[in-house]
Amino acid sequence: MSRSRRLLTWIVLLVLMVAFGAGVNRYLASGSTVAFAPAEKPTQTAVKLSLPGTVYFADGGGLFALTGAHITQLQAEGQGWTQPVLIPGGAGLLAVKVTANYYSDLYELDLSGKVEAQLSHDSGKVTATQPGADDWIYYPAVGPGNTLYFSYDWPKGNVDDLAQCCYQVDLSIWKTTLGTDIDRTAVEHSDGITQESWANYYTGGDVSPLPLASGGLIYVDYEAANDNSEVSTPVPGADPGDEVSQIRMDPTPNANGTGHGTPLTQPGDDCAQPALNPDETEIAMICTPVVNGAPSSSESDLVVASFDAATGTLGPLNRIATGTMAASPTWSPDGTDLVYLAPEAGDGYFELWYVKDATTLPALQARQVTSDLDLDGSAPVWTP
Amino acid sequence: MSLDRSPEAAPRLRGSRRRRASRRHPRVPRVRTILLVLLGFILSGVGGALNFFWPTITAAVGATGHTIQAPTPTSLPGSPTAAPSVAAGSQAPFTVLLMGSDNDGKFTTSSGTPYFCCAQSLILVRVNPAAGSVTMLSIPRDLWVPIYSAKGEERSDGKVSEAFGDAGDGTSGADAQIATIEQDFQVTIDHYVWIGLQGLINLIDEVGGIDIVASHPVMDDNYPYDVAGSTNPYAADRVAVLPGAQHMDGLGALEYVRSRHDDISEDIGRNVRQQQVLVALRQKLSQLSLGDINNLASALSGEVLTDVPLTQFSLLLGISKDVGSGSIQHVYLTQYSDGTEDGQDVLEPDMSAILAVVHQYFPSS
Repeated sequence: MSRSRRLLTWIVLLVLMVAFGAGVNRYLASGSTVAFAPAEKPTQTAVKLSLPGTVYFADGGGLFALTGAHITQLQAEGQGWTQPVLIPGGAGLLAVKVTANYYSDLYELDLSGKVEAQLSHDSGKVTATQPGADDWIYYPAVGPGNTLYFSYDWPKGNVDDLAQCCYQVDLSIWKTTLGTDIDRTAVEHSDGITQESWANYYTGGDVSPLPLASGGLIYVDYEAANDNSEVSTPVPGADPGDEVSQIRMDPTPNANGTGHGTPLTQPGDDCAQPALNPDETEIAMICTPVVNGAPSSSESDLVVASFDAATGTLGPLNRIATGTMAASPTWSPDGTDLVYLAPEAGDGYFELWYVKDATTLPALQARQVTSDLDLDGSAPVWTP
Repeated sequence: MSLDRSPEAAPRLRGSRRRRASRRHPRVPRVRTILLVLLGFILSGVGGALNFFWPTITAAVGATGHTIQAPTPTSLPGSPTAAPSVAAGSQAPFTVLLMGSDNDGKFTTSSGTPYFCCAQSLILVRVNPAAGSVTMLSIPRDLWVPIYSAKGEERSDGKVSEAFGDAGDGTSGADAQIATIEQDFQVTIDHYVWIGLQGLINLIDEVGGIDIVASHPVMDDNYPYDVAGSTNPYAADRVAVLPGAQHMDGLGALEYVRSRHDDISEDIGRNVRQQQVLVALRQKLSQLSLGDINNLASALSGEVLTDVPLTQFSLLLGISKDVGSGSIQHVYLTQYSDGTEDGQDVLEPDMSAILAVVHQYFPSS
């Protein structure tokens, strides 16, 4: 072999060696777990199942509409948008916009996502040492006569006393008329805004108001699981620090002055996130299962029960989806099917799931609607 | 026999030698060449692997294999001997102290020297590999107990979590914290893992977040604003973690486990949330593969300290995968009353009742 050919051979071998080393490096790098991958932005490829009508949802701080297999961006991600709800009659949407670690505000949008109005002003000129000047508004819901219900972190304890400030911050449910300007001053002085529920202090408060056609109100409160002063029956197997939720109904909110309503579910059921079907005969909700004799801290069931709005009674709790982390159910416009949120296997990001004929037993297997998204846990809106 | 030395014969002889030589001598260089090439490929492959794992190696050298300085706690009369450690590689049960705290030295003494305040979270974990079970016991950080130095000398009374911040004797806070818990609770700690606030954020972000069912709205208008670039150690922030199932990123998870002001159960509520996040994190980490270790090591660089040697990590991960969530027992201490010491709100322990609970799950030393 000539000297030049030998030299060429060595050069080729050296290149191959370097390539082999680089290959080993890349092979190791390619072994990263898919489960740790970041979520995708909402695109058509994320849709695994087409649903009739349009489903509005929040993802990564943006708002989106899913129509068939097509996803439309209404508001860009990263802006803190969450909790979209429909204005009755389908005239538009309400949604909460969160400025993380400071405050949130309520906005009215048209169905294309254009902001029509800012309904609350909860930034209280906060300083680094007085964050209690800001406020949270969450869980908007519009009832008959354009009555707007929402959760607001007022009253809160010792807000004017910096030494004692800011320990007790609980959400209570408030009511006003859609379009009324909401801020701390209006809430504090009940200026066109009235308090509908009185939270158990230091529990986080009352959430998820659901107005009834009769003028009544369904909502969720939180209670210490083993505190006899808060729960009717201490929850077996609950840890000392556990809290449980109860779905309550107040047929005449603010009339009796107690603001606590009557419980529809028991403390041991630990149910929350109620969704009422259009004719108010069924409630879908999320309840905590008992696993190994104690309330689970890593599972939540999708539950459906019949409901009599006139008497305020709930039928047996039928568990539709179990062994998962179900969240935020929403009824189809005709009140037969459900969509809800639950983690996708592997990466754990929350996706949209669908159950057909949700009031029929035994329940059908849930089908996954979206994939690789990161839905934020707030309930979607389903319109015709 | 005579040799043909004629000039004609010479080339034949040379040709014959050359053939013999080409049959004999080049074989050695060829084998050598092949070995050299193979070695080249092996070295290149090892180099590629080393390059990939370099961040892991450097992080591991700094973060793992620390030796616990704390002496063996004073034995209780008649108490059983503590179990051997995981380092033995056996199926024997062992005890790990998990500590979480800030590590940025944001507080300073009157002379301007940075000091670490305290451990924000103290969880004793008993792992029984043979049974596939884990017990987690949270120690309330405000429990008023004797504080020990890293050498095991009783120094003064204080909140149990303060031992981490004031080790004494020039030793690390972890050693004094271990000594204090071993002496006060009469347990033997086989290993410890400490993680900083930013480390927890990085870890959870690196594994793509965790799934949590938030049991109630976690609201706080006085949440410490001391990560994400804050320069004021006393700055406060607002937190609102809404209830229900959700996928949490690192910052959200830290807020969920750290907030305590608007919790009717006070520190116990926070302990419950901390254990909940640990279980969710364990579930995510059980999916870890070789290709993730590098990123994980980078994310945790400088934010984790442990005495567990690097060689034992695969064993620990294996144990973690084998333990089902139903085999994890959660224990919370409630045997105390509210009190005031040195002008601060503390928890006055009923130590005999506490030791009875602790020794139900952890062998006494």
